[in-house]
Amino acid sequence: MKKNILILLITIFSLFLLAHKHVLAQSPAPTIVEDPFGAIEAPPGVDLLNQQAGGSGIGIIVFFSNLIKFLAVIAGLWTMLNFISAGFTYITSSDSGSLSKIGTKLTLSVVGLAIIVASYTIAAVLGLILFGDATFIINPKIPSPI
Amino acid sequence: MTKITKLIADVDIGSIQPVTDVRQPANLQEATVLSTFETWISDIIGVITILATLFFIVYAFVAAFNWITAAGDKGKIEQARNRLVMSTLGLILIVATHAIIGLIGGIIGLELLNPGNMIRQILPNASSPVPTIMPPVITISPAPF
Repeated sequence: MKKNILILLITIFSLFLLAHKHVLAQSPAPTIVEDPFGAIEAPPGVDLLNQQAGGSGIGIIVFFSNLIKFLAVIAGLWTMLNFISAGFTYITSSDSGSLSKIGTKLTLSVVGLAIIVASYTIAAVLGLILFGDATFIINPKIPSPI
Repeated sequence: MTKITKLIADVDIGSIQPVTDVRQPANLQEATVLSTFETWISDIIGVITILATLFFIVYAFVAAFNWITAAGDKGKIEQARNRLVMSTLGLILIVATHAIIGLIGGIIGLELLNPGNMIRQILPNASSPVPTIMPPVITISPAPF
């Protein structure tokens, strides 16, 4: 008797499951591919620059900054060469015109070196005066809808 | 219609680094930048003063040497004396220039020795003529002598 009731209940439950199969059946969720083409990854060296720029950004200004540092080293070496050539001119030449010319050259190269080193501060002050933000030139930000 | 929720964001593309860390502003705050600017001008004045002393030493010795080798020639003695006197006057003027500029600025009512404060007044986002938090007063300092 008990067994029949059990079989009946099981049958009803099975029928119920069959009737609502479409609800209970779990269809696999469609995986939406966000970017099917993928992103272009930066080359190894550029990747390092991007990391220095703050991870998500583009490191073009960091690259530019490194170039400026390199040019500053070149300018320092050039100033030293200017001094050496000025020394040679002072030794060998007695022409007062060329002497004054080499003096001007020395002064200008030292002034140029000072301007190169001071350019960071000058850029900050110019950004402060013109844009009201010292980081405007030094730390430029590109407006982007992304 | 889907509402546009994305705002225009700034893309950070990194910042320019100073060529050397010496003599650069520690941060890019307004007060720091302006005081560094004034420190630069002070340093340039110091370099000019040191150069002036070096040239004074050389010129004084050259004038003395010319006086020795003039051998009684009136014109040469006059030239050497003029060179010595003028270089001494120039050195005194170089050292006194800071005070003279301060005096002129005091007479005409401009803070000539505090250009950072003048720049601060013409900044586009200058809130009020009297700042609530007084920035560090760093002015052009005289040459270190």
